[in-house]
Amino acid sequence: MTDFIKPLPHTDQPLTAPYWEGTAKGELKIKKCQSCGSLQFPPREMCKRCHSQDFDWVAASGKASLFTYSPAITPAHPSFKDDAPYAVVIVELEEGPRMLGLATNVAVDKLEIGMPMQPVYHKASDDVTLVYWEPAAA
Amino acid sequence: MGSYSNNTAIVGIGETLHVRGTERTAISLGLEASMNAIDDAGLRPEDIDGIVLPLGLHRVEEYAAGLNPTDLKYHASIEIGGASTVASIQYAASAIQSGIAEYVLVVNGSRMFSDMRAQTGDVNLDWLAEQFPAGMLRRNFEMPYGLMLMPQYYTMIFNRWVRDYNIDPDSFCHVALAASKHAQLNDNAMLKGKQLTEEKYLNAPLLHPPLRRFDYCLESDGGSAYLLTSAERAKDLKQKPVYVMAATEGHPDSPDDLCARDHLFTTGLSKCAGRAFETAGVKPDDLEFAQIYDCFTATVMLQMELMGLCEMGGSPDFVKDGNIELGGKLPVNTHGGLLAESYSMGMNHVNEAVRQLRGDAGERQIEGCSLGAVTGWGDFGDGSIAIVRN
Ligand SMILES: [Zn+2]
Repeated sequence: MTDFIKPLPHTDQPLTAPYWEGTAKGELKIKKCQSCGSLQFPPREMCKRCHSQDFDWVAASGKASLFTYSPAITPAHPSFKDDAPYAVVIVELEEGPRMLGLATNVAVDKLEIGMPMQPVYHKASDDVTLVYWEPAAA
Repeated sequence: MGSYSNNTAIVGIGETLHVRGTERTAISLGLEASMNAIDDAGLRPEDIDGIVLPLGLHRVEEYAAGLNPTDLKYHASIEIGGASTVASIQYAASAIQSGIAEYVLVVNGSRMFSDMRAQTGDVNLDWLAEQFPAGMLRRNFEMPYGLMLMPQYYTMIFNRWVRDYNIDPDSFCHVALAASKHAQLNDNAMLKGKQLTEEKYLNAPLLHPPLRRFDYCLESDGGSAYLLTSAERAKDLKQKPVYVMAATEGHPDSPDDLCARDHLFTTGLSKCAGRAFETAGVKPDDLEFAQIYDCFTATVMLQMELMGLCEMGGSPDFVKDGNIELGGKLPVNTHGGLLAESYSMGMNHVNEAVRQLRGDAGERQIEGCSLGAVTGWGDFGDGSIAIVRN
């Protein structure tokens, strides 16, 4: 039997490294356009509002609500066998941008669009801290 | 507007058998389909002077190596997933209309069953990520959370749609049943002889809720091709020409990412359908059939709303009572579609539209039909539509 290992993100890519440095410290870092102040996630090269390529990284509060979700009763890949059934969620941060992650501490059929969510920092390896999402008190 | 409207025609179609598992390469399958399409048109491979590849897993040069065209003047690879096949009509038609090329072949050979199955674990995930736009985002922000299959992405959209427009997921059943019924009349349909019943549909397990087992398209290996030329030249060829009234593509805002998109239901099709109907000078109500990209049953219903066949939230009503079956108000996917014929990237939708308009659809012929539409949906909401007539 092959042992399947979950795909961890590459955390050393220039476009996204500050995000993963943030999660390792329990922070949710998003890009803020230096020119127009727009917040952006996922991190990209250009601000789609004003077309500037100059950004700062700022920490989001972590307050969020469930925007939509995608339940997987069977795993998409054998490395997620022990997680199934699981749900991948898109949450909307109170600052505006949306983020995607794995739902945790909630049954798949208890997810409801609009419910308050908060991040759970999951140390997946020495170098990588992933962000899961769990229901928060209203 | 619409300089190409009615000035080009589809004059040849070709397919291979659709199978689950093959020793043959994708190119071999695509070449066989190409030869069938060229022969169908009454042309020779050396006549081809343009090649368009929807979903460029391969290169045009690799097809030219076998077909050996005398003077290949035009090539394009169209990269918008399942929307590529119908969008390719736009590229072929505009190349012909502008005089760049005379006979443009659109061909796809693929081993989607044999090569693209992440579930088994034997697919390299770095490679798989790169098959999507913005592979870096897929690989780093989605795969680590167990998101990597098409039904998972679509379900993100479906669950929000179901909630915002109060859609009953049981209504998806009508799309699956129509496809299955139509496949029984198609000798090249993989699910011929395996007719679905409502009971079987409703009792099947939920895999990616709200999607049940029979809401998914087939996975298959095979080749498909079609060939376009000018309306002028089409008159002298073997088959009754099928004229392109309009072919358009559209892209959602932030086309490569669901998270970054402000509006989930402003999709490629919602942008390009209106343009196509305007160019063609017809209304959605005028259509006599529609071959609608059906990677999932729900994709068909959502597209019906986005292309203006009904209003947002209106598709459950539209598809009931046999309305989308042969003999109904608007027959949809008369060959069985991706759900019951074969995956074929949606190439098969174009070929079926051509068969219907030629009057070659055999037992499933819509008597005397003269106008139809074909749609494509790809990646994260890219869309395409062609409106065709005889
Ligand atoms: Zn800006």
